[in-house]
Amino acid sequence: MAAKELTERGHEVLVLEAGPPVDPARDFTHHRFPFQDMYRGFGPPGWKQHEQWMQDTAGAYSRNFYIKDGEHPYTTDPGKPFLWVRARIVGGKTLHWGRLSWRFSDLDFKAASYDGFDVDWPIDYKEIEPYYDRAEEFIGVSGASDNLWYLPNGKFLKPMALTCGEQVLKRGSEKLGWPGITSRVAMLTEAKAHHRKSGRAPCHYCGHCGDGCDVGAMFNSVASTLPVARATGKMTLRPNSVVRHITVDANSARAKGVAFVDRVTREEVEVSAKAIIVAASTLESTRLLLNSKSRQHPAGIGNSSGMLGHYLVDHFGGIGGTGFVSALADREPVNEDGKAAGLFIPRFRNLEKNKQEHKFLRGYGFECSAGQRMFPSAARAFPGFGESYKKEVRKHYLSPVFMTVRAAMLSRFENFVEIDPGGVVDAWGIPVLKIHIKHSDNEFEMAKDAAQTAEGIMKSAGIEIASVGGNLTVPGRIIHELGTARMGNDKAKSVLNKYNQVWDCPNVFVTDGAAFVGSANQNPTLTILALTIRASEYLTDQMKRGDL
Amino acid sequence: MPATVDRKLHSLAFIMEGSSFSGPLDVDQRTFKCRFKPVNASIENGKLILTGSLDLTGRDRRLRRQENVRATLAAIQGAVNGRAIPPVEFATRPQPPAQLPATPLTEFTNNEAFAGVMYLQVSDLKAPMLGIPLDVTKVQLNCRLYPDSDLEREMHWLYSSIATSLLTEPKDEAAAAKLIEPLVARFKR
Repeated sequence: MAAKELTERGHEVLVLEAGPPVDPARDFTHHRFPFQDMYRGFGPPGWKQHEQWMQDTAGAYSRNFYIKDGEHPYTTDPGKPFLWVRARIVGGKTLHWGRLSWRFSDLDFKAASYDGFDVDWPIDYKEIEPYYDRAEEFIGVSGASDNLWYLPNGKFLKPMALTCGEQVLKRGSEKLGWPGITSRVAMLTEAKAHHRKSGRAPCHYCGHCGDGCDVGAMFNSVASTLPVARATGKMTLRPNSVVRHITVDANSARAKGVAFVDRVTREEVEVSAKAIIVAASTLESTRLLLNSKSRQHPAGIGNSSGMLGHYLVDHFGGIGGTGFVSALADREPVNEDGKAAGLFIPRFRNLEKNKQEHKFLRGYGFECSAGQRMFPSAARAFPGFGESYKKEVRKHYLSPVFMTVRAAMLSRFENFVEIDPGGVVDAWGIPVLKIHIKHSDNEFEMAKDAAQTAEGIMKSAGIEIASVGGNLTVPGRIIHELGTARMGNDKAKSVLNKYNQVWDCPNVFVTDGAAFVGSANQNPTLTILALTIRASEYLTDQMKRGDL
Repeated sequence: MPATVDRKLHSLAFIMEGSSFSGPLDVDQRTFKCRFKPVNASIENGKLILTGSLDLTGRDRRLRRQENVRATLAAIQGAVNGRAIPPVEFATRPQPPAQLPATPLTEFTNNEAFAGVMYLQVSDLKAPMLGIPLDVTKVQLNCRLYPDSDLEREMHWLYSSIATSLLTEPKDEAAAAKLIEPLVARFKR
């Protein structure tokens, strides 16, 4: 997004990508049935555990979008694992992201003012609202205006439909006073003129969004932002460029450029720039800043406050329920392979200022879905085999419903990353991160409440409950790692100012999830995009004024 | 600044294979199979040291070997799938079911946690002996612990338990030392 915004404003931009280039025609293999694949859609035996053991969402069709864990170490303390999903390829994680696009509200930006924990963001909703508008209009977000003050409306394309099971769950939730809404997803239910101009087409509901989208219906940078930036003639994209560190001008504290190694040829290269946008994904960005030590920045760029690396969070999931809508049993099976949205039950806890209703702060929502795909996942829940087993699976084809929590994690100083003190490096000799994170009592109490409310919603909907409860997902599994280079109003307590600009090094901007002050419980990508547009505008203004 | 080329071998991606660790190495469009076979283990200055041989075998099937290679455990990466199963002699009697916790837990943490990767550092390799044109003065072995046989399951539990004792504060070197003999015994299988 920064490349698009900056080239459109007339800047020459060099985009360095650590991974290989991607060619949708060659690399997206999703329109193939498993029987066309040598390993029937499972990939070669052992590949996952031997090569990509942390790449939880990588499948046989999408594994080239993810890193190989053997080349990309990181370390953790015993007993405190972290699951780090990483993409090093042009397009990055936008090639397979979940696409849920929610705005934050002042319930999130001003959370500390509501409950007294930690600090507020240095921005409020009104400041960022126009940038949300621009981000949504450009990427294309389908959804409905639900008029919830804590989940603001936006500039939506027409929403997708809910399935029958989702409608049943929605009614059950609303009986309890908790709205259920259609998920807002960054997918084109209709293509506007500016979408068509960059070659994007409406969704054809093939249902393989995580394996790459060859028509660009799903927002990803390969189909959306990079073509626009390329069309300006001002962008140079250099794949296979693994950045080691930011270089610093000997006469000032400002950044001079970056040093990188070519992933394939191992050539060491240095380039210079007037300004540097760090958007390598939350933890990779912070790793780069921590590795950028110099006389002027002895603890890394942006770390004069000692805050760089701290306040790591990830949403948690893993708590929820499954069940069956008996009224939908025995109906003619319908495959819902193309279903991309689903039902969302937004946060309903702790919505009032200075009034903590439960044993925890903040809140959670539920992502819900119902229906089966061509290879029905619910089939695993039934015992038996043969004809009677098949009849049972067929009987319940339409009736399964699933609920899973998306919950906030409190930002705590003690959850942090550092450069591994044991000297562990990656395949290019670049020092790696050691990650320290664990859940606190607040998350455990929230999980307990979520399990109870999931059960309550299913009962209210008249659903036959198959399972309820669960355990919190290991940190990292939701792939919403955020924080570690937080923005703030106080230079002594933050890494970035409110424009994503590094306090200590004003020609460096960090425009990814690292900048977040808190996680809220909404998916973060839309907020990252909005902040990036705002930061790009600010950078341009600063340059025009001669401040950069 | 004129461009240079990085000719250092920084790390080798290995996976457990019996009591050894093995993986590929690509050098100048040649592929070698590498294997680190520990024959001894010790704890020195609170760190696990594995001593053994490092082999490289090219397509010409010629074996290049360096003996007495010392690999020091620097760190681990916690695992997020499967579980580590203790060998029979370390298996505890089945306990009565514990009282269910009042709140849910985080998966793969605390008592359910174990190591998924060991990072071992080697600083005594000799490139001429191994026949590769790279700087091998400091090489890291990224040893993935994913067991696929009874022996590997036992090794996994032993490595994981030793790493936990040595890398968790407060360190319990005595607990780790008790596991060295059973570990070395399995090197000989």
